[in-house]
Amino acid sequence: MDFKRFTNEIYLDENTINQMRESYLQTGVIKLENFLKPEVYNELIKLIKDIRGEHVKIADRYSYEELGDLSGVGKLFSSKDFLEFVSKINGGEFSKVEYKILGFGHKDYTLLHDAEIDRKGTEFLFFFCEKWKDDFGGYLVYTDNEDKSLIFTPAGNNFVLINKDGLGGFVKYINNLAKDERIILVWGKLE
Amino acid sequence: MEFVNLDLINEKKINELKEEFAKNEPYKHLFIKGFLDEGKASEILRELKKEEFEHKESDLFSLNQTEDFKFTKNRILKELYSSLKGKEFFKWLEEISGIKLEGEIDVSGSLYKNCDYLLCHDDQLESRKIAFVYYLSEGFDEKDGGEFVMFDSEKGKPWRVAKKYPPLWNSLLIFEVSEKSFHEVGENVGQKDRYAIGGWFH
Repeated sequence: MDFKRFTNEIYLDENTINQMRESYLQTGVIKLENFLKPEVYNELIKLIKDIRGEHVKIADRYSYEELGDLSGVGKLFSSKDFLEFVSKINGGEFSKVEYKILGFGHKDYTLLHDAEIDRKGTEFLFFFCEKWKDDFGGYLVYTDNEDKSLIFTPAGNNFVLINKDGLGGFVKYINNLAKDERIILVWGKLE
Repeated sequence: MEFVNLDLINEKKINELKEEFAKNEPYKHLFIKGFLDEGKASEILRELKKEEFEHKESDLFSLNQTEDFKFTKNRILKELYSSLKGKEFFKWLEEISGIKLEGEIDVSGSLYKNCDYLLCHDDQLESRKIAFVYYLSEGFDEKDGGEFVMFDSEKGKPWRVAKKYPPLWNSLLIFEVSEKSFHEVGENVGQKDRYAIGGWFH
């Protein structure tokens, strides 16, 4: 998959990138809506939405589906062009990316452990979902477990880059209101 | 002890409960049906519903809780608190569990509405020795959720579901707090309110 060909052109424009960098360096977080070109995202979600992976659960840590590379979606977020793009926003070079592509439905979650808050680093999120609502749960919370929390509600084709120093992220338990709706989350770490 | 169902405090019954507590798996526990006199249970539920519940959310839970009954102004709940903290009740618990207690107690009311839950954890904190939940939920069945789930553990990690108890009206669940006591409360997926009183004996 070709990152530059698939990504919304607005975000590849040098002026926009400069503005994004400025904002990111001030706040430590940036959220980009319609990250992929709409036709690319719509085609991708059709292709992957029914793919099922292995459901894994360690009750005091996580419950989700592991979806592997998900028909090449992983390659998009581990390509050289993607690393170059996030490095420009960060203002410093990333050389390594690790990611998981996870499926979350009713009764799925991740729990936060203190060690995760202490671990420094940069993370990114990308969501595939259709009719998601806040009261289903499933939102990403980055918190210091004291007074700071950043919440990212799943929305299809949204990309988030976050400097997580002093914060740990978890996916809120998904309750029965979600019925059969699912979120597919690309959750990555950059070094 | 006048608040406890009299059938539970004769010597023969105490010996039976003691044996059951020790042999129950996946960790030491007891599930006692008909814990209080029926009239008393109804009275406590009626008073509990008058208390203020605060909604709480974290990665681990979504639930509603009262403040500790140490601070309640409700006469009936104050009485329950004093009885649970009383020497007689501690003696009864020590006999059944074989665990030496220090005489301290935390007690609060909980309310799980539709979508509320408590995910897997072991309850270990400071000096907690025995955890308890007294169920005041009316008419819950399996399809409503809200069950208490116990996990088997291996190498200090919860492994698989070992046992489930429904939140049965007027029943008491007690278990030993240890590195093995992994448990969760299943999501309330029905429309009934799940009331309970719970806490820890230290």
